[in-house]
Amino acid sequence: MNDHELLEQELHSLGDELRTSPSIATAVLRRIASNVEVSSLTASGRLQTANPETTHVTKVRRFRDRVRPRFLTSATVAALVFVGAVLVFSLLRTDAVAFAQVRERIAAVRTASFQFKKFVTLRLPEGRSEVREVEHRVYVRGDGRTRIEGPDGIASIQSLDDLIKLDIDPKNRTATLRYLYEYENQVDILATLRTLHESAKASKIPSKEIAGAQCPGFRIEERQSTLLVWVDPRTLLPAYAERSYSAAILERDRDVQQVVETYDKMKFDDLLADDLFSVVPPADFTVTTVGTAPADRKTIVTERLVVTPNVGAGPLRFGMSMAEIVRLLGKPDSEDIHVPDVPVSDDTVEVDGIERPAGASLIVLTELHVLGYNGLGIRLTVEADDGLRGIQCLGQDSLGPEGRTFQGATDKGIQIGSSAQDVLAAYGAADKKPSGQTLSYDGLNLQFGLTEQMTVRIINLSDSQEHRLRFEWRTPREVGSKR
Amino acid sequence: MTESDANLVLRTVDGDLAAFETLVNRYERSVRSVARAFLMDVHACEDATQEIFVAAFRALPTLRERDRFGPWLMQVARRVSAKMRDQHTRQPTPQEFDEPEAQPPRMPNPQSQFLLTLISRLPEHERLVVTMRYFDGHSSQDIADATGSPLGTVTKQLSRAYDRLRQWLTTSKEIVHE
Repeated sequence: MNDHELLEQELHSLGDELRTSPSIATAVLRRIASNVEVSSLTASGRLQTANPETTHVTKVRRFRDRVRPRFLTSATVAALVFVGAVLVFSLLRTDAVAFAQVRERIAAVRTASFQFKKFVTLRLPEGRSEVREVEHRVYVRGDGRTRIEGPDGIASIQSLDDLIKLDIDPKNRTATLRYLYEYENQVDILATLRTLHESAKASKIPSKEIAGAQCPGFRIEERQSTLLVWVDPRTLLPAYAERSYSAAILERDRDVQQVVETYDKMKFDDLLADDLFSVVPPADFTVTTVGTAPADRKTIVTERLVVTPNVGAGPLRFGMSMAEIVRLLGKPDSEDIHVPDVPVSDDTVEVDGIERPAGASLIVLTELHVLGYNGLGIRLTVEADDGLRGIQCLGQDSLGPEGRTFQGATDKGIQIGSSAQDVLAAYGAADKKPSGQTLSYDGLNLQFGLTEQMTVRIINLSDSQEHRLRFEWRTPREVGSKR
Repeated sequence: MTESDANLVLRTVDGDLAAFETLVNRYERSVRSVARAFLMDVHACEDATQEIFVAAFRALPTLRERDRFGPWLMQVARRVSAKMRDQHTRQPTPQEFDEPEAQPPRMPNPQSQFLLTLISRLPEHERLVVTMRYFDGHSSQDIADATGSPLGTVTKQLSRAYDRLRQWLTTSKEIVHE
């Protein structure tokens, strides 16, 4: 078990300890509600006691009555301040807008729509080039639903919650229902929108006149692209944005010279009808279904998975793609993305044999997706190129109240709750003991995390492959405007 | 999808106690971990945890940047915990106030207490994502949704926090005795 895993294990242990204390939520709400009740009693001189549930409801209603006028007052003040701010902006230089303000405004947005254009410059023989352009109208809603409209009424509706995508072609009266996770590169428009307010690296660029307003501009360096955003000073929301992709991304396709995406005619918080986002195919359309619905979790929960070092656990095999895993186990309960740490200082001249250009920053492209299946008591580490790389089997203490202790065992019969003596009897002396609570077997890529009582609390299994880090050196560069 | 802190704060200020309950459930362990870094007595820790949320509730209408609820709550937690530590060191705990029917909360073992101390030294945003991730059990996506930060920012903050904690752990003796 490496330092990273050891630290993670210790943090999880500490979290487990903190979770043993009973929740204080009820006590806190009782105190808050009783304070409100006391205030009401003082005002009305009336004593009210009832069963706890009735009292709770009454208290909540009273709290609303008491607080709402104050909120309305503060909202009125806020509105006046906002109007004042707009007036001030019209008088002052527009670059007074701070990106932090924009960030706050975008974070509160519930719906968005915009015109999306993508310009792809292709390399042609004899040094010639050709620009191909696609255009869509995009509607995004805060619940993870997206609608993308193309020419001839073609529309694609995606629901991240349901993991379904519906493509509609009204001209041919056809519809295609696709299950997500069948494809590695799903476009998450909502996440794209959210990156618009990544303020940490925002720097100012010259303003641009859009729809009669002088809009201040910001430049944001992203992992694989550069984003330029111009903000309407009256609303503090983006009026126009442009994203161009890094050279390293483009180098993956030799025919592509440049890719620029633009976001124009942006509208925020319009009321978007539910019908726009329906993933039910129209009744009289010919429907094609692509992919497989995620598995019913119940069928696999009853299976007692056998953990086999260097192979996998039950039907899970190292190297499986995320799509294969989701087909097998269904949608995970949680998905975390970790970017591996690569310590780089000013003195670093190369990483993995690739020389560092002057002034370049290291951008790590490898992403490890950790899929949590609480009902199975497992966490899976998956990488886009390498597939399934790690399997972690856990006890309920590590999973929280919704979790269920891993029901399987290793091929030598060790399960969650087995004693350290059982492990030593089955696998022999451990190769090393980085801490008193871990038994590690390097040749098997197998580790057992132990409780204070020296029983197995975690079984860690990793594949036997060496994995290459994907990264690029990024140097600052300017990006031209397509508008 | 996880409802953002900003929405929950707005609903709370509008009188929706259920929204505040969601915030309490979301941050309870993170807040408790701050209290435990200040207070060694288990009951004082639990009292402080409650006191922090009550104080936060009262001060909520003054919070202007609603999407910064998490960092703001941690500031409230440190302020209230420090105040209670000062009071606690002056007043002995009355044993008669112990509730025999309640299961006494466990204190972390010395190694865990040390890790808590290190976590308390992390920069504000890194400390928040670590406590939300490991103590309150939220996924990185949930933290991103709650705090209004991009997922990439959350994972980077976690990554940097790891880096610091690992480095500090290797020089732990010096840090403990400084």
